[in-house]
Amino acid sequence: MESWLERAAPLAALCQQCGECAAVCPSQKHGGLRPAELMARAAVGACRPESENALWLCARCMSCSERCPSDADPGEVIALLREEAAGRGNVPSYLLDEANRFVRTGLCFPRTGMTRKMRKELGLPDGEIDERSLDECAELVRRTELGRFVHE
Amino acid sequence: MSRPFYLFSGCLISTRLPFLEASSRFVLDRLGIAYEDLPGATCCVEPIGLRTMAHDTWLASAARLLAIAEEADRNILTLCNGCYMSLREASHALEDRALRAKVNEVLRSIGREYHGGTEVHHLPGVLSEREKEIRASVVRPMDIPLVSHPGCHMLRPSGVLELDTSFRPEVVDRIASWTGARMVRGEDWPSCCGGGLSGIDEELSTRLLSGPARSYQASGARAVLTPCPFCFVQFDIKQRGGLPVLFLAELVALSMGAAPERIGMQYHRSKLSL
Repeated sequence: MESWLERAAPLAALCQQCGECAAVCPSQKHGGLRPAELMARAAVGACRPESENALWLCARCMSCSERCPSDADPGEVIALLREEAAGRGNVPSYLLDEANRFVRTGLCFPRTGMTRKMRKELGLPDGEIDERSLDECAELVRRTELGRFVHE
Repeated sequence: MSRPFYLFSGCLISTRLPFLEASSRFVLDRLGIAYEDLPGATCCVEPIGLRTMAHDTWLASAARLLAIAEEADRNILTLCNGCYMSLREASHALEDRALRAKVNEVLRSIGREYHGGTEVHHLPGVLSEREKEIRASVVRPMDIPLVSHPGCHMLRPSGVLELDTSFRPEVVDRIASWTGARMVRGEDWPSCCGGGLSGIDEELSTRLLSGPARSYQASGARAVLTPCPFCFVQFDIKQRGGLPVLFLAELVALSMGAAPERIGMQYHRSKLSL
């Protein structure tokens, strides 16, 4: 597979530093990630995915990519950098827990006693996931990148 | 005639917010829209965290769901903005034959294959095509001022989602107006609710939420109206002292005469007196 730099740098190289993404980014507005600054560095490979925690402060609202007049797709560049960061151990514990819940239960949120009580009260089907589907889900994870983060 | 739907409730709604599923089913039933539950439904994979940790896992897992629908000659109907974005983006990406062949190598390990034939639709889109039927079903006009919050992943990327615009979106307002609701002007480019940072950075997530929450409070509306369960959670549980929130399907169901307890309005944290 191509390295993150080979995938992200050509996109980031389209960036003209117009600042549209910086102006619309809600994370930057509230002291989080700075997309235009990140794009400038990504274009020349000057990022440190293993240690830049701000990569995880993007809410994926996609306003940056929608507004970008250069098709540089900052949202996708951030996603590519995150995948690299995760592979190097820079990933929020919340997402590691979520990845493990997904492979165990097929879901990203826990099904609790309250879930079952509410579903019953509202006359909804129980919605339990069958064994075959859980096996399929786990097999796909094993064969793809998320498998790196799963403790069997 | 278009193919019938497989309903895909997604994991947030089915586990934490089943009442939003109840109102959605009520509306679909009243409108006579045929659906069955998507069999073997797992998480879509969610497009904010897991998709960015492992692009290929997201694509393969979404392709599995698309393949299940294709095998039954059905399209998918989502109730959640996140699921809509995830499955719609995957179905768009899988129009590329080379990529589809690569994903099918993985899918074959579980005895499945996807040929590119499943359409992904979102509840607001489906409702927006049924003005006459919705107007005819209203038995209790919802004469209250509301402000709409469509949520980012109903809008962007607009070229792929093809449902509404980021600048002055109007689909949610239009549907709501058919129920009698008075829609007040919201934000021209509705801000992110911060839901995508929930669990990752709670403080930043809450700061993001404060922007739209304050502006909606000053809008003259009595509640925020959203079609997204992630935004719903932010407004219902995370904000302090702001407006209560209504899910789009709840508004439509109430206008069609649904008893509030039948669609689980009692499970709202922030109560709205109607």
